[in-house]
Amino acid sequence: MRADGARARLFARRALVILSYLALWALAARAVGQPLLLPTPGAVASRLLSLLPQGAFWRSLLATLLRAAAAYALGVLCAALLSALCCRCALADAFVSPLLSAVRATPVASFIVLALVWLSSARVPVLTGFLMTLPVVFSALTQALRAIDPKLLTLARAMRWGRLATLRHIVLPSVMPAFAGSCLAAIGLCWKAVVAAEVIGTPKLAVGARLYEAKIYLETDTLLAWTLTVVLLSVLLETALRRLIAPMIRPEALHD
Amino acid sequence: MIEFDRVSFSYGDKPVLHAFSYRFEAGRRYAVLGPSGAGKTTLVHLAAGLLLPTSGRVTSDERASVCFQEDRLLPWYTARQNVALALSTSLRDEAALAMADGFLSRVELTGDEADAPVALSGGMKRRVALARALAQPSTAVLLDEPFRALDASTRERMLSLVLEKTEGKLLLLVTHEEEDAQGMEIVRL
Repeated sequence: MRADGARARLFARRALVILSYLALWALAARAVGQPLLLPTPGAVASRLLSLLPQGAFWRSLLATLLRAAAAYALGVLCAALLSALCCRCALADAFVSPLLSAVRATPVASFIVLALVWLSSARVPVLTGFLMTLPVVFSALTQALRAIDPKLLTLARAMRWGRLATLRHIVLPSVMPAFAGSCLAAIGLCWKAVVAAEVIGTPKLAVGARLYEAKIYLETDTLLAWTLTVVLLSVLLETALRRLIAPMIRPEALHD
Repeated sequence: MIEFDRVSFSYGDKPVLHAFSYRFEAGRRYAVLGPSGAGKTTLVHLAAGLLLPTSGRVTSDERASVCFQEDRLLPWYTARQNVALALSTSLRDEAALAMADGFLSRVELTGDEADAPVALSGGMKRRVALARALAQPSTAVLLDEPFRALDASTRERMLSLVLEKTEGKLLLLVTHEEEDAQGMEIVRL
């Protein structure tokens, strides 16, 4: 009962915040008085509703989602493999760590423009999302692997555990919170980078390309409707991943 | 049998053991006494094969279980799971979990089996670590200050339990208390 009440209060507070911002937006739109510069929330909602039945809307969305999923999966996988390699081999670390630090510090637009010279516009978003995901997860995972308590690793030797048991009972539970946190942080970055690369590269089927077209044709309501879609999807992806990852942080989920 | 033959050990340039020789016979009980920093913990680690001597040789034909000076409990597991892992690497091994409960009951932790280490007091964690060392199948039991943080009467009962559970095994007990060493061969460092 108490938990239900707390949840209801949290929901009411969130709803109040959202409604306040919408009211502020509506007031600002009214003050500006030019839908080309700032359409009202109602106009944007209506434009979004008109996009929903269109097949092209869903095809663009699906194509962008697939690119983001590929970029993210590749980024997380490569980060995990590289972290494991760098923690075992100093030479590999000497080569990989500075490179990924440079990637992390490089503006996303630089990658996009450079990648457009080498790759087709449909592949550039995948590479961009991959390059945004990789260093974030790599850095967190490498730090977590290096921070594993050596006394627990000695315990594993005293218990005569093999590599698999040590991995299951010590390594994975030790690194999982940092790994899960970095995966959560990276998914938002990856999604935004993929859309940004689509805006610049304008592949045929892409949310970013629709955003670019809306900007070219000065359809501000369409631009905001697509932006709203991008934001909502980002929240949905993060929430879904958070739910997917939560049981993995509990080590019982790692067994058998 | 665990034999130390002129064993020296240093942490960097800080010597801890110097030309130590001793033969710990199978099935017998030894108490290792000595001031802090004398090398008692190092001796346990060398005996368990967790450290290699800087010089000299350690020979062992024992399967040792160790209760470390620090509890070294896995914080993401319950007391029951921590003990069960000494018996099986699968946490779904019901027999191991049931045996773990048995050992926890012997260290007077019935009712605390499902608690994570963070919810246990220092003395309770010590007893979980002791239960784990006693549960692990072994021919030698190496206990490094296993009764630290225990009150006098609990300490006495735990010592009786250790003597009961290590019957017929090589026992190496590191302690600061001479009275724990009664009936044992004493090794002074």
